[in-house]
Amino acid sequence: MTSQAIFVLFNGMASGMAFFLVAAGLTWVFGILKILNLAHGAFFMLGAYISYSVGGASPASIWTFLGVALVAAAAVGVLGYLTDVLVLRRLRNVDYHYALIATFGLMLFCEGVAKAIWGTDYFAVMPPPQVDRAIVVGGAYISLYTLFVIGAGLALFAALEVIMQSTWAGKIMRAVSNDPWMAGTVGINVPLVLMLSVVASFVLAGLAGGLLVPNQALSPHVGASFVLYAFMAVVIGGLGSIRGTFLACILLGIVESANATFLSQYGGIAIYVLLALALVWKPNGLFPAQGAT
Amino acid sequence: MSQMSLTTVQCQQSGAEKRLGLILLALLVVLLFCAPSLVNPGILFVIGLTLVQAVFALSWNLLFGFTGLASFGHAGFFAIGAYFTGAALRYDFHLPFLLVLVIAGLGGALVAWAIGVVALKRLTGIFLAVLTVALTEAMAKIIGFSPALGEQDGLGNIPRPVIDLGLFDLDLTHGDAYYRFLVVATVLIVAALWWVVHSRLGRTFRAIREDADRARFIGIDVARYRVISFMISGGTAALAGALSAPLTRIVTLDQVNWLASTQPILNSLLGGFTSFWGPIVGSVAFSTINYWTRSFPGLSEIMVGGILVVVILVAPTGILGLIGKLRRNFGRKGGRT
Amino acid sequence: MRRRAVLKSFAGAAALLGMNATYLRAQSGPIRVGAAYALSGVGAPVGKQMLAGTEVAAMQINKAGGLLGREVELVIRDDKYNSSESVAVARELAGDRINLLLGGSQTVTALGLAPLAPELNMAVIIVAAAGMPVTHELYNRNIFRATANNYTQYSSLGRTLIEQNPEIRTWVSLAPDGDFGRDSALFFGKAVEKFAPGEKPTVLDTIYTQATATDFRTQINQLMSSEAEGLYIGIAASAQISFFQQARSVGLYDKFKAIGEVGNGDITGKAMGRNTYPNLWSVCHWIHNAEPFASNPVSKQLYDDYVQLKGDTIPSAQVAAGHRAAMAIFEGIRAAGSTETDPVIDAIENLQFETVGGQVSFRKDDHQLVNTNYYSQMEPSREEPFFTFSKVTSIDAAEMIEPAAPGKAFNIAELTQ
Repeated sequence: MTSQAIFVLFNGMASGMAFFLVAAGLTWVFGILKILNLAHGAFFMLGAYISYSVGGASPASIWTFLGVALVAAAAVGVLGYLTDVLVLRRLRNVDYHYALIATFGLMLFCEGVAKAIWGTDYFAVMPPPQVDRAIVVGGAYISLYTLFVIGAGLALFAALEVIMQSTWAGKIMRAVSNDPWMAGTVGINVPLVLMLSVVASFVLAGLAGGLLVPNQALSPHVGASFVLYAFMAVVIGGLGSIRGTFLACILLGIVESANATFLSQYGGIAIYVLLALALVWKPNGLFPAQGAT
Repeated sequence: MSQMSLTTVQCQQSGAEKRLGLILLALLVVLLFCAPSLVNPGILFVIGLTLVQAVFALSWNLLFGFTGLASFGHAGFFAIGAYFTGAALRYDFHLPFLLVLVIAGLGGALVAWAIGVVALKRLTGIFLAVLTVALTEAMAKIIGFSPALGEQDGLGNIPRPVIDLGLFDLDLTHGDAYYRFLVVATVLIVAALWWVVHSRLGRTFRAIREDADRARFIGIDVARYRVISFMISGGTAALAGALSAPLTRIVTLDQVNWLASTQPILNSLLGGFTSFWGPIVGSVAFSTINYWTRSFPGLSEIMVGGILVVVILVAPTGILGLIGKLRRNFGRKGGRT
Repeated sequence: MRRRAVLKSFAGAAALLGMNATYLRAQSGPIRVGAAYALSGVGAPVGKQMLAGTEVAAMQINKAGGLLGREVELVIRDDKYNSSESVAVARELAGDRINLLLGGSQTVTALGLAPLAPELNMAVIIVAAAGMPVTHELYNRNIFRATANNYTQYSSLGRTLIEQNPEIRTWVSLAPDGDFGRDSALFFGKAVEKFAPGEKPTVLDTIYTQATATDFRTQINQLMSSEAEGLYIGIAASAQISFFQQARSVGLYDKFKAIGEVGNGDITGKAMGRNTYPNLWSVCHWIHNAEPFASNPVSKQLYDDYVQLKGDTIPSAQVAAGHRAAMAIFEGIRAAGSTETDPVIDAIENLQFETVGGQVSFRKDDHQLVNTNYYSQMEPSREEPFFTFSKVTSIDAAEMIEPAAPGKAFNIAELTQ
């Protein structure tokens, strides 16, 4: 029983951190732009495919692996800039329903494009050699790659917290997020900040794609499986709150893991119960957004 | 939103125009009814599916275009109606078919009420969108656990019903009888929805959509009317699903996923969500495009996604909205007020 | 209201008239056979390959002079791996006066299509759906299943695994939740128990997972903690690849001595490459350059014609499935001397013809194909494409097939094996 519990903990954390890698960009863009980008998962998927094309199926070392992930992140950032110019900019000041539907259309479009470019065959990327082993902790088999994902998620959270709370860039973004009109009045170049935020969110999506590509098979649907969890985490945690999203991701990961271990004949249902409870108890999320929403 | 003023413009039409409109509508219904003699069975089936999608899209747009709430998981209601009706027919619940339809509709309305009462008071917009998606996914999982509902393979071999009307039986099992029943049922549902939208209830919905706070100030219980709208919408979506089950004679999880939920959204936006008839126009348009491109497989995602994005950016009020704008432009050029 | 009504009327009329043109077609001319496969969506990789096999068969027939003096024309449709669409396609083709159809390429589409065939007066060859209902509770005279069914297939796989690895005494299965998963694991396990030489091995309880999951670490952990050394994997497509990726990382490759999988075959090989599990057994429909296929004339011809038609030198096994189903219809037409539904059905019932895997025929009682089933062993290799088939074995379906029971649901407990 305890080895199962240990496993649930590690696996849950790993799933949660994987969700967070994807959800971070989503909650960031919502916090600043107030748009829920339904296409986020598609860009995550593109990041994964790009890192496969650049780095191949067997990364030579952990450093090449990280490097390729950064390349993918940059590439997706560029795509994000194009998307912003062509689509998102026109949706800034209209009803958010339009944005939801337009980004949904964008998601389908990206999936179709990925199929057209890379085909419908599946690919598999292996973890880099340094993390391609397993350790046994209290009877539970845990791969080092899993620990790497946990580490990456924690590092990302720490980095985002530091940026948002302690740097001038973070202060500017928080100002724009809380009150764009006032921020503009005091001289902040709001459109520039918005554009950079969008690009940053796409960069995060691409980075997540590159880091998580060894986690499962690579197919055009790989984004869809993460994106639902990401949305749920963002909604439970509080739209725009990175801390809330982080906490919610951990919660979702552990609940999902526990569900698969202890109630396996009804796998996958517990997180919906969690979502329903969370929304009933805290409709605006664990850490509701402050300021003009 | 200035596009909303379109709905007021169209009320200012002459009696003659309205009569002409009614005549043309009647003509269309007659054409649909006679379709089995005019087209081949494959196209007839596609027309049947389009009728179902039209009702589904209307139900979604009641919520979005007329009450201002976007549901991204509407396929859940459709599935409730479809699976219930499929099971009732396949496992012979010994219920009259019309009663099965009524129960399916009420079931959808009941679930909508439960969600509405809990969620609509506290959640709006994005939260509601995510909740509706999540609930539909959860429903798909639950259906997936149930062997009686066919799990992953779906509930198949659904027989078409025989309706016992006391004096005589309406046998829908042979040939195109069920299609004709579907046409009649669709006309009735569309008429009922039209009545709702143009009634005081409908005007209340529109007031809430225009500005929920102002509506509250003049004494409208916004939360309560949102729930009512959600119930009518959910019930109608369930009816659409119920009608579809004997048509396709198989119900599968394909009808409960993301893509199934986006169909009514796409149809409504394509046709024009500011108008009552928009979803119907959109459903016909989409079915036609789908049929013409059926020999080019693999285009579907790029096409659907592309259409959604283009429509939102270029013509957010859809086909009917575009026509309305053109009409007003020409009207202005001609010197009319 | 008027303009909307006008628009609707015009749209309706235009649609009706525009599509009606196809209704008036000549009765003589080419023999038109419908071919409905999954060409988009999740089932597309497999569907496209099957279609390729069917296209080659049509090309071969036409090169040899056609059937009954007429050319064969395939009317190709995409069923989108979706039962509604497959029904719509069948109705459309029937309305277009086509009474011979290759369809139901995968169970999901077959279940919707099968009950429809008598109503549309069509002869339908179910190409590759292996679900039991097709020749049991859904059986009707108008459908033929041109592939082995689940019971035959997975019992044979289990028998192959235990006969090839008789030293493995403990087995376990990982299967997707649902009828198919439960059944395939059950059939596999029972066959392992039955055909083991010597002492009866232990088959542990099946571990279940979601068919569409992407994370199998929980189940992998359970497998690693179990005592089993032999494994059956019932999950397919990208899920199976995710499984292997995650399993490899924790050392599953060292723990298990033999693995049998549900039928991904070269799909897994291509994706995993050098990281393919070294003793991986799978259902094999065709490997063009391995015996016994390499010496089989039908196989050689299919390969050459496929390369010529598609310009690709690595056909997938599914090409043979599409080829075989098409051959059944074409040979049926030839034997019947007619394209009418009933004579063709009668002819196919009594037909024997050659395929890439040898001679096949259909059982009269339930229209189930009786053939030789092949199983292949796969392992990593140093050259492109970094995996290779090292062994191919076969089992005659007649030895493993269940008794015919048209109309009755299949229940393994009722078998007196």
